[in-house]
Amino acid sequence: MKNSFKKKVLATGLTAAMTIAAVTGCGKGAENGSGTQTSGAGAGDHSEEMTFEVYDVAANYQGEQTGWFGWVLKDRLNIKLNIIAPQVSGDASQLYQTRVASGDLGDIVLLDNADMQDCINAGLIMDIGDEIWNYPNLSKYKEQIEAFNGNLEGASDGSVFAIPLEMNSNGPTDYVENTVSSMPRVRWDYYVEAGSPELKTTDDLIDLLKTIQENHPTNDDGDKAYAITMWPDWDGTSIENVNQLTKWYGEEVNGSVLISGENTIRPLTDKDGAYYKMLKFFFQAQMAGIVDPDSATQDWNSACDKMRGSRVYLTWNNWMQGFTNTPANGEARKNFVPLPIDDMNVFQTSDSYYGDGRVIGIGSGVTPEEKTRILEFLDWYCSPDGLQTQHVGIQDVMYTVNADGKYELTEAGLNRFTADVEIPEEYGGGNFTDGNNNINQWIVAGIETNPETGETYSSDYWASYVELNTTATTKEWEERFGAKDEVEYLKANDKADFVPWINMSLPSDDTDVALARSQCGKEICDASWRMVWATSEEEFDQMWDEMVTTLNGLGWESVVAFDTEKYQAVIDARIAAMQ
Amino acid sequence: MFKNKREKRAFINFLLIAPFIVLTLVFCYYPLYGWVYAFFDYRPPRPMTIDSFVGFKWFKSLIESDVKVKQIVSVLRNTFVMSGITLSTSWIPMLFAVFLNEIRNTKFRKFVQTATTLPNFISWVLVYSIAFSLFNSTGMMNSFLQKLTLIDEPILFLQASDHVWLTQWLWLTWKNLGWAAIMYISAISSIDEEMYEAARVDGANRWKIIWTITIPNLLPTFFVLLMINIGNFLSNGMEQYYVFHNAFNKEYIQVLDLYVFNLAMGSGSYSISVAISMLKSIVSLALLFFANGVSKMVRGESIL
Repeated sequence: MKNSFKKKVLATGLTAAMTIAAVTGCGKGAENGSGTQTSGAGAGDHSEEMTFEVYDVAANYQGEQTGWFGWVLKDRLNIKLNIIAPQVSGDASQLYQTRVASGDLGDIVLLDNADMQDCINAGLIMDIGDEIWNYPNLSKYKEQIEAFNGNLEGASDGSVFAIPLEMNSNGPTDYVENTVSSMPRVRWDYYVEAGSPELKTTDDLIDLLKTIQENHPTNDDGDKAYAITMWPDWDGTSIENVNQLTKWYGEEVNGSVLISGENTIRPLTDKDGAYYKMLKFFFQAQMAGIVDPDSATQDWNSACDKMRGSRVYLTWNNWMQGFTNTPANGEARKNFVPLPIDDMNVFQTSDSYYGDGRVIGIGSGVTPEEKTRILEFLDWYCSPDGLQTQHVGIQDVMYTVNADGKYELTEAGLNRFTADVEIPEEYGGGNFTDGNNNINQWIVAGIETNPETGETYSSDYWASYVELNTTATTKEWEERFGAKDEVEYLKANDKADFVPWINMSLPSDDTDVALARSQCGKEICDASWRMVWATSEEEFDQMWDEMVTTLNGLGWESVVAFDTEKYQAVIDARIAAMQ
Repeated sequence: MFKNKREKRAFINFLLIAPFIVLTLVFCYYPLYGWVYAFFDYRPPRPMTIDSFVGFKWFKSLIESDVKVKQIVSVLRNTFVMSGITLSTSWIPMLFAVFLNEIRNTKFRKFVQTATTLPNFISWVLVYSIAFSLFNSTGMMNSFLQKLTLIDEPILFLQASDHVWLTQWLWLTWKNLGWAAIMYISAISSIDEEMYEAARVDGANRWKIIWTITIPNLLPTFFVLLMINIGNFLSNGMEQYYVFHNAFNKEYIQVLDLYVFNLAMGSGSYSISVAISMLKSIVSLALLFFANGVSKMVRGESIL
């Protein structure tokens, strides 16, 4: 009783303080030259530095946030973040299970939807419904946040436990981006050198890559290069590299099932499905001698180094182009470009209006002062200043304002993903990559419009950048394929299915399904890797059949049945959103 | 307080061993409480309640289908073979200690001993990174063989499923040999020097001395260690196999401890892992009693 009264008094006090602050404005933001600090942050007492533990499933870095983003956090909010990254801990689920069992996941918790639901049920997450709408920037996404929380199991009216990530305000079926998440990407000059062949099927792609590898057995530094490199450390129920390629042929892997762009659903182990097809693609590539022999034993970092070092000739995800493409490379025709295959039908979900399937929340163990400071941080995180910083970097270092009042990347900004860009000491020092935001997830996506400029937060769509990126590569590509970008090409040639992105909290596995899923997953991954290295097509098929037999003995049907029912809800929601 | 000096001394002696009794209770007996998890449907973060009691479900589920039986059999086979190889070669450290002791040049002897003991302190994760840099497709071994033009294509050593048991045994021996020999070296130094002198006076040569004096004096140590190893037959550790395992060699490398780890940590299936560990403890106990009985019968002495 007494406690809740105290809380009320505190809450009222804070609200009052914030209102005053909002009226009087806060000086600090203006000092930084951004002048965009319209958030409620800065209201509370910031004299005490606070450190928060962030349990973050998206992070690829473990430890304190340092470098330029650390400097920004200290400067704007006087906080430090200590990031716990299950992905780099070696065994993500082990870390999760142990921390969850101990009852304290972290002060700020970033999880996949289903895990978040479990943690809410277990009382590990704090209800912030009483305070969240005092924060103006978070309130902009009230509709999406409420939609997600209303859908949570055991949610009461007005409670808010989790904030979806990667939201935007363009509407549920919109697709603004100019790239799709996965399609074949090859270096333009090598493609032209190989005679710009038309790709009818994946066999032609293998032939093309083989020719390229024969033309260029090493990179310019003399390191051995292979057309395709793979890495096992992202594997879940099945090989992640294969999962990404199933999207070329209209299906997306979700656990044990394949969901198609035509809203159908079938088991992963269906021989007519895209998983079998694309696994076979890797096998055929291996037979052609163009798969890196270290694929099954290396980790993502080695693979990543190879991509940066031009020792790989095929990439698939759109973000991988960030490793290789720059305006200078584009002018030299060295940029990677998307290459359509005639029989392909790309699966692409619309922009994540309702969030991307991950959510952020506050741990239930934080004190009221910490809660306020975390909420301030989250509000700043989706304020124009916060978003511009996350999506591009610090003003005047990474970008400047031009005569039209629009933003323009600086030289450092242009090279930030491809070179070692040093950050001035006054902004935290170090290089850009090391100091980048290691939370690695955004509450609001880069395609959201910045009210300051009327352009997106992501520099990819700035008029200045688009103009700069009109290079020899893009011009020749446009001429060859008759479209200004891959999305336009796919839409014009009817080679893609765009389905609405649905973000809902789905039921998590019970112990039986979890056990069966884990055992089946290990079997699928192991068998798949062996199949890539099969010595003949008969052996490949024989291994596939053996795998299916083994899976049936491990309870595969129960997993498929569970997933089919689970994802039927998504499909229903998609059909509803399309109408 | 005490009736006589004897009682007082007994009490002081008790106090001296009390910390160890407490440690044993805390770290060896208290954890047995965790066995209850084997009978519940436990899934963190949800708390365990009486509704989730499932009886022997997890024990039964281990053998509920042919595939699972096959898996368990293969895991047990790997465990037995690897432990079998280790047990049947456990005389090697003894022999190593004996020969080491025969080296007259002290500096060289110390060097060999240090060089063989050192790997014991390197963690398995580091051992694997050494193995990876030596044996990957562009590693030292492949470059070397390719420079000699013995091979054209790199050999994928780490991916090979041939000779897994042998190579794993070699890695283990490389890491453990010197360490395991320490016990024997100290046993050798406690052998009565007079026996050697008497043998020499009687005209025994080096081999004779080793065979008739050193080795028989080491046997009691050897048998004690052997018995402890038999008790640990099912637990050959998981670190080594965890770092070396991949899709290609898993069929031969997955031992019981690794299997339990994969089950529990991959899916949060703590209950079934506890069930397996329980079975393991019971089997280990039985093996230990069996070995003790055999020792009693054959050698007339036991350790229990």
